[in-house]
Amino acid sequence: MERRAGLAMTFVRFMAPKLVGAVITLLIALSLAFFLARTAGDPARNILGEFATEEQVLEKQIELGLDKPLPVQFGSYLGQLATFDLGSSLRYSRPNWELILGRFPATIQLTVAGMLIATLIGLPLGIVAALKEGKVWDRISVFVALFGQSIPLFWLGLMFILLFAVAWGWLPAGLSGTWQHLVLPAVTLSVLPMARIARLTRSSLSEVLEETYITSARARGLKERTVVFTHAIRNAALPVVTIMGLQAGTLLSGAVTVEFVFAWPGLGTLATQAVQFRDFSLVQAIVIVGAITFVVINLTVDLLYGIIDPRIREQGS
Amino acid sequence: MSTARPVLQIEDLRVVFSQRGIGKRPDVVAVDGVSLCIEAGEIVGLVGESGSGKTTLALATALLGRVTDGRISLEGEDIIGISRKRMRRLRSRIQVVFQDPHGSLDPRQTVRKGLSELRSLHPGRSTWITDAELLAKVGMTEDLLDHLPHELSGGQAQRVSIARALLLRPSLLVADEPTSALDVSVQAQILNLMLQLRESEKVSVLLISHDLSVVRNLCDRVYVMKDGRVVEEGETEELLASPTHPYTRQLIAAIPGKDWDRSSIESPNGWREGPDSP
Amino acid sequence: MLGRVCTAEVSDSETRTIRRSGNRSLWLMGFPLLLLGLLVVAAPFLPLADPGLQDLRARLIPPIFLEGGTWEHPLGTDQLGRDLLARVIYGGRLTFVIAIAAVLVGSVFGTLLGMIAGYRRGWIDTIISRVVDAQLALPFILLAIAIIVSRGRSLVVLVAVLAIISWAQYARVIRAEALSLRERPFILGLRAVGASPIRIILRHIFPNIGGTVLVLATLEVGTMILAESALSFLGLGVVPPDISWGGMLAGGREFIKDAWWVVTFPGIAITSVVMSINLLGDALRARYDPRKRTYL
Repeated sequence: MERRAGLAMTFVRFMAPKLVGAVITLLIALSLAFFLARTAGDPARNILGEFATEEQVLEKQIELGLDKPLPVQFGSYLGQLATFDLGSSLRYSRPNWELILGRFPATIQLTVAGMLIATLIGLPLGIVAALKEGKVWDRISVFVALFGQSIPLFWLGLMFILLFAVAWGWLPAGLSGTWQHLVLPAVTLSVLPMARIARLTRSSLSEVLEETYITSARARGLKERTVVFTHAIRNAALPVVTIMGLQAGTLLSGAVTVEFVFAWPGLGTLATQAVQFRDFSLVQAIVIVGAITFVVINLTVDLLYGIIDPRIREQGS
Repeated sequence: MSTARPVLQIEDLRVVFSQRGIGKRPDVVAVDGVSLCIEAGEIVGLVGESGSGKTTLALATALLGRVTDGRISLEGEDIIGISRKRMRRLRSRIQVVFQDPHGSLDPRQTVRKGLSELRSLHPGRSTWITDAELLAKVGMTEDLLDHLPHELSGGQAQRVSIARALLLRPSLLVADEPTSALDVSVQAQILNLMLQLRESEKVSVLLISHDLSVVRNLCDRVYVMKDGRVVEEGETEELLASPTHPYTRQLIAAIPGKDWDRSSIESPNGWREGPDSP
Repeated sequence: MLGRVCTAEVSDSETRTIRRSGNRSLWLMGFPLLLLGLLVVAAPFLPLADPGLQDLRARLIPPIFLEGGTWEHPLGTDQLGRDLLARVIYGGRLTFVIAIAAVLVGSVFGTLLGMIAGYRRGWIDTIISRVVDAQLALPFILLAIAIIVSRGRSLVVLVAVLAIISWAQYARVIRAEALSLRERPFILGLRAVGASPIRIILRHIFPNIGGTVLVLATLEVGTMILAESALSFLGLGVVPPDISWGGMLAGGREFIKDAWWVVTFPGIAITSVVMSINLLGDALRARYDPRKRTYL
């Protein structure tokens, strides 16, 4: 009982600074987003386009509150954030959060599918490569990793459309609805995280396999399969979990172009449309939601970290 | 006490590392009220196991580490809480030789470039000797001047480190485990070099070691440290002959062979140990 | 997040595999890139068509190896009848210029701030690390979109955006390197002789992380090419009539059903160049990474 309380305490001790850190990170990220987008720029002019008159620009500036000094603008920006007010879309004349919420499920569906494919292929590929260093599978995994990190995802998407939709007609080229619609965008999106997962699993596992405790497990006469699956993989999992968390974040970036290519009705498409219509407020809202999502994912990874790695759990004592 | 001022005088030194973070964690007291004195020309040993605080003490002495409380004076001058400018000038008077001979030299800098950098930092104190003469003092030839550290052997690199320290004519040399990363055969040479330099350069040495057998051969006096405190001190022979603290007895028992002399330096027992963590 | 495994690191086994191939691979990797660089630089002196010349009678001509292809346009033409071969080569010019400029700006700032953060530690490190974390927390493409939408499209904005994307990566890796270097005895020794922090950072920390910076910068050129192409593809990058590979993809996308070559060739160019850069970066890493260099 007491031990349990102690464990809980060390866990809180482990998580609390991470939580505080995440909040600070988020605050800075949101400020960065504000200042990088606002300082010296004139959103009003950009929203209206170059043919607008001075009067129209001025009117727009007042409408957006851009005539006030920057600190005041920043203050009201933070105030809005604090009340979870993401503003309203200039084009759709609807609250931004409504629009974002409407598109969020599609993006989640796509990224989860992409991550699943990436893990299901990348992980075994990395494991096999580490176990058979220098053999055919190793070479294949090294190539997959290199290829995945070098190819523009949206172009790969275009090539998939060319082959599977235009040339062979096996799968739909865009939009959503059935599972067939999901296949091409999800596979496209999975390529980069697959590459990274395969690469990291390979290096992490081959490092673990050289540790003394693996050698001693072998020396104790354990079956190779037991050694690999009970000792090595568990210890190699740590960096892999991390990279998966970070990838979930990059997936969000990748989703923007991939969604655009496949006309997938998610946040990415919403963002590109917002750009086309100079819907500044909506773009900013999407950036904010993106940053929050990323920070939440990373916090979750940290949590998983604490559960997987006994060293971290015991560090507090 | 002799009439001359001691080279180094430490009084009641405390070094405390507070641990940050949420929840209460006790502060770590690395050095807990240590007093120590080194007279001119003396070689003084500081012995203790890893974690006893001896490296923290060494770094504090060399003005490189944290000092929580206490007084350190060098040739009668206080060196705690002085201005940066004065500190910079004083720095040349205490020099450090570290355990890891290769780590002590910038891997991208030849021996010659390193020496000329030192000369440019302390133009006043470094004109007394040429590079070649300096290397000769530590038993090396000048053809090594244009070598990069990785082209030197461990013993050579350690000699270069000692030469670099000597260039600024320090009054005190703090040597932190100077031989424990070296091959057994080289260890004796470096120790002999230190003895020699004490005679020729009139430099005092604070020798830090986990190994009493090194200290026994070299030091006039010894301080024994445990858990941040000095538990025993005295003339080397006297202390070894009649130790009063049980910890000292333990350390003496660890010396390989009762009739220890220089020839038994080949015995690797107790010479090799992991790096001392501060 | 800073304390985590650095994703840019390679394991020993990987380095071994790379190093086995030795210096020869370094040349092998570098040579095609060098050739390409020369080609791109020398483009105006080559017998190429004018990349901007439109010829509506010659729209969407297929490449030479397909029926209907002509030697006049070896890779075919695009939707406005412009010669694709010339456009791919000229597009490479701008793509390279943008990527390299962004890497230069990003690496200077990132390296400097990373060294300061890692060497000085304390509050300055806290601030820099937090900003790096925050920056990495923003999905880069959304951040770029936010900046470009409010600032308008131009080459300067594009390079600035890409530099902002890349500096954090440098700062993160270099900080970790500086952090481990500062505890090395030779740095302590320099402090013991009264060397100033500026001297230590510029004369001793920098030369010792130079290899890492070089490796990182090489790999980052590839990342920047990918980022530039993504932005241009979304209509946020290079403004026509300027040509970049990403911009070509954006233009050709609508005609994908009728003329696959318009989107295929620029994509092949991007992928092969980035792949060579990544290979070169890995080869360089095997050679320069100071952590892997052993004392003889």
